[in-house]
Amino acid sequence: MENTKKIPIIIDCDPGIDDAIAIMLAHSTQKFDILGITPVAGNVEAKHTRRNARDLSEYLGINCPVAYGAEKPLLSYDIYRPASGTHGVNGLGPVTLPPAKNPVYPKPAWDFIYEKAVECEGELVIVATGPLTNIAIALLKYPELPKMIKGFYIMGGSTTTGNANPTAEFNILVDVHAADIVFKSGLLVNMAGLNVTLKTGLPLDFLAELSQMESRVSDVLAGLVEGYKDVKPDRNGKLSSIIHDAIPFLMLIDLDMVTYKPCHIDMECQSKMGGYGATLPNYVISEEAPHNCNDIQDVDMEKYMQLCVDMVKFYK
Amino acid sequence: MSKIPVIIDCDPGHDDFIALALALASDKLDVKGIVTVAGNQTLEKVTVNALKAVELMGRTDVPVVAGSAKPMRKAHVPVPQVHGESGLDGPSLPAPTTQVLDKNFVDFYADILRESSEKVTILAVGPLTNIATLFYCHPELVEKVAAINVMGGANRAVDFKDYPCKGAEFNIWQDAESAHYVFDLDVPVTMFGLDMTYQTCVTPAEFERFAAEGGKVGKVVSELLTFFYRCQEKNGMKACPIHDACPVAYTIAPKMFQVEHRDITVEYEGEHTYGFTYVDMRIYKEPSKKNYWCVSTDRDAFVEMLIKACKSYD
Repeated sequence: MENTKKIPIIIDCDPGIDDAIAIMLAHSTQKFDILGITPVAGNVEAKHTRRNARDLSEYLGINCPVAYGAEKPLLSYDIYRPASGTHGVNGLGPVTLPPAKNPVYPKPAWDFIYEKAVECEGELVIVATGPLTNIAIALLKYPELPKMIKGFYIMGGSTTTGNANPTAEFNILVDVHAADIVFKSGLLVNMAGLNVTLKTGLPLDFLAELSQMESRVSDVLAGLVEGYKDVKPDRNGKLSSIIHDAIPFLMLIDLDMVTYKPCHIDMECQSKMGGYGATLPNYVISEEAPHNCNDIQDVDMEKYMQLCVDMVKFYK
Repeated sequence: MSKIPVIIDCDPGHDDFIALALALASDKLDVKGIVTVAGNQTLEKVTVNALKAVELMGRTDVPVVAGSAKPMRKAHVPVPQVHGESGLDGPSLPAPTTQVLDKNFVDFYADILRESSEKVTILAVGPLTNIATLFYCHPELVEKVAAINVMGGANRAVDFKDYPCKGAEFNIWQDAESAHYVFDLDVPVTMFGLDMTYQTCVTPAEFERFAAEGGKVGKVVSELLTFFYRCQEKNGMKACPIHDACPVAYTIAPKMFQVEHRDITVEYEGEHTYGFTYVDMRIYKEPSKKNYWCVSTDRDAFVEMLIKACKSYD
């Protein structure tokens, strides 16, 4: 019998084109009760991610509270640079959404997360698709939080290659100390790192087809895809747009869509030669290397692409 | 002249206890609350010690709140070899009956800052974990802070037997990441480091004066000093510093101290320098932050101030 109860989630993100498409996809599955969005500085500066989060929530018809998070990383604020080359200066490429009308939630992200964790009585799931600054601050203020939530999923890190540097992925690199706090907190991190996301590119011709299907989001989707510069050949060599942030949601939508390996992650926070920001996996779990991560290995691309087709139908 | 509103962040700790004795006796300070942090001992133990302090001093009107149980990233390293198993070994004080205020420490700080009509001074005499967390949660409340007066750091490598700190001072070394962030805040942060606090040493003969002239609190202080002095003796000292009392004394009587405006950077990545506080001593270098480095004080006046404070409790 199908479980029709929606999963209560908070989406912590830095929209960001792939965050935007991931949220568009997640909402379309109707599997989630999106309780709120907590923007963080990352792909672009906080002033942009905040505005984009609010505009997206209303444009997509989610209409959830948006509770503002951190404007800069915990410690590396002097070296933080946004990824405007990938997402455009405003974070959504050429796309301008109708401006949000709903008020901003009157408390900061960390208090909102805690509030909802209490309300959901252990059922809350958090999906983080940006740097982990907000989550780390929530953990510093509420160290008991890991015991209070059901699951934690991230797009971040890599157990193979990096993108922002040879070993590190951008989200983690922006705030390595926040990531360190998260991996040491007792949370079990379901991690969609570059090792899997780089295999999940959606062919550009497939995305072009989707944007031509009739729906109220077609123009926005087309604009987002056009403005998104993270394009690489997929496993068949076809030029594809890599919507990294969709992958953690896939694991929640249908566990059979992904494969993963349990591991222990250590964060490299000191290297000055290219290891800074590396998420170092140890697949032998022990007392010294406790299980703090499920490293997602692969995704069922057929099912993923079907979800994308269903997404466009949802927004008719 | 209206009292200066202060919140004391501490990990009692022998010298923290003495700092509390000084602060709670002062008619210049309005102590809004005491927040504890894992440091000299575990959060649980230092919180018990803070409660013992307010009970001994008859100031159970001052709320005590428990803060962070561990540093931002590193495991907590207590120093029972310095402060004993209880964190306050030496005097025998009764188990406290007063309760800790059951409130999240960030909310406790934030409410006081928001509701205060005057800017609040934070007296930080333990690791800076609570204060960093507070301003990560509420960067907008930095402007409600008059100053953060910190006991911590040293302007040169230090090497004391029994401390695990490898050249650094203990409070900063316990959580260098939090300290780094605090010293970068847009608010005056004044550092009372070991180079300064080691000028405030109380001689064993003066321990007697605390017992003889300082009433019931003075007696406890002399027992604390006797215990704390053991570690200083091992390092060739002939007198006992009261580190944590310095920022408190400065808040009460700033003219008693010499302070210089210098940038201070806390190291959290160095191989041999984790927890170091680099005070930028270069000439022709304009400071770019609001850091202040305390250089020296009038030791005799400092000791008199402490004895007088203890006496006032009887």
